[in-house]
Amino acid sequence: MTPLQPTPGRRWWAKTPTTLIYFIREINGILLGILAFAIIICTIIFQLTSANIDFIRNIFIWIFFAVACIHSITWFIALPKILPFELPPSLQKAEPLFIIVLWLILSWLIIHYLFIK
Amino acid sequence: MNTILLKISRYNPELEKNYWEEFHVPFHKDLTVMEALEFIKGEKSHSLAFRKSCGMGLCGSCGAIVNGKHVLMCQTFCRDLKQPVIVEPIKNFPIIKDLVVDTGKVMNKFRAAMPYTNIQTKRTKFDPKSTPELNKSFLQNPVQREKIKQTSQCIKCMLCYSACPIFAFNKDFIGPAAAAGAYRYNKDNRDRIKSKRMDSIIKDEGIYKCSFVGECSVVCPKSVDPAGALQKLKVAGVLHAIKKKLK
Repeated sequence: MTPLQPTPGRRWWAKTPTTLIYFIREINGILLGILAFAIIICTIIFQLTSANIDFIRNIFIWIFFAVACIHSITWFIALPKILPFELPPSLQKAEPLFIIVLWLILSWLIIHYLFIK
Repeated sequence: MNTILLKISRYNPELEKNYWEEFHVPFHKDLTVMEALEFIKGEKSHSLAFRKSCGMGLCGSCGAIVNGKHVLMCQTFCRDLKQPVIVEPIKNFPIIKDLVVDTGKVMNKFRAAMPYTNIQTKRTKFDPKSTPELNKSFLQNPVQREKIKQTSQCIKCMLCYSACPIFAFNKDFIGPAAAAGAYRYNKDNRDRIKSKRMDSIIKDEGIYKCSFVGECSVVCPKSVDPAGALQKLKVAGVLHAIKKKLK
């Protein structure tokens, strides 16, 4: 008598919302790295050729921004579980929102004081 | 009489045949999936194999996938399910027959988690002078108890292993329930072997194989949150390794 050895299907990651979010999060991580290199190389090439690049550069910036946002927000939601200390349940629910607000404030401060000024 | 349609995944190990079979079962509003299976076994197909014991969500024997969701069959009411009710064995385990899977290898993973406090280290004759700690009671205050309350709820139903994609691809991975067990004993104020336990679970196929999908916590019928326990163990593992280097 032989036991049946089931194997996970090819689309295992699409079967539940959790695995789908996980998959998107990890794929985003890879895309983020690739896009970062792509943007650096493209920027250098475009600057070297010094052509009119506004339209193409805007597309890259928006893709980079979207991927960075998805990856950051999914990790902020996951963050309470990887803290080395225990947060009360009410704080655990509020934490992602708090981190996102903090992230936006810090981003605004960096842009405002380092780049605009 | 109202009936409900059940579609059950079956496996005949003698013929090595995997197939679906449908059964109509008399319906009443308090009918659970487990009771429906008992009716089928008693009245329609005596060869149907499934596990059951307590019938009230305490033993963890009757874990299965019902309509695509990981559940304990004794706690799942047919009135809440769409028809046909599709019943499958849990994933990632060898299927012995129908809904019965072989959990033996995974049960052995709990040895690596050392799920005991080891208050008495040697099996020798009790001597209160040589082991004075055994001569007193081991009390826990409510705060200490609260730390282990959640992870103590694990009933080893194996639904977390079934939901874990990391375990699906790497059967050597220690897995969510064993890690939750390790976390529970690490947090126990009566524990004496945290260091040994950490050494055991941070090995090659230990806690660091987890990439935090989080599905194990979603499916857990006792809200144990093994994914959370695993992430906390990862941090504790790093601190443990640093401490060992500094000693």
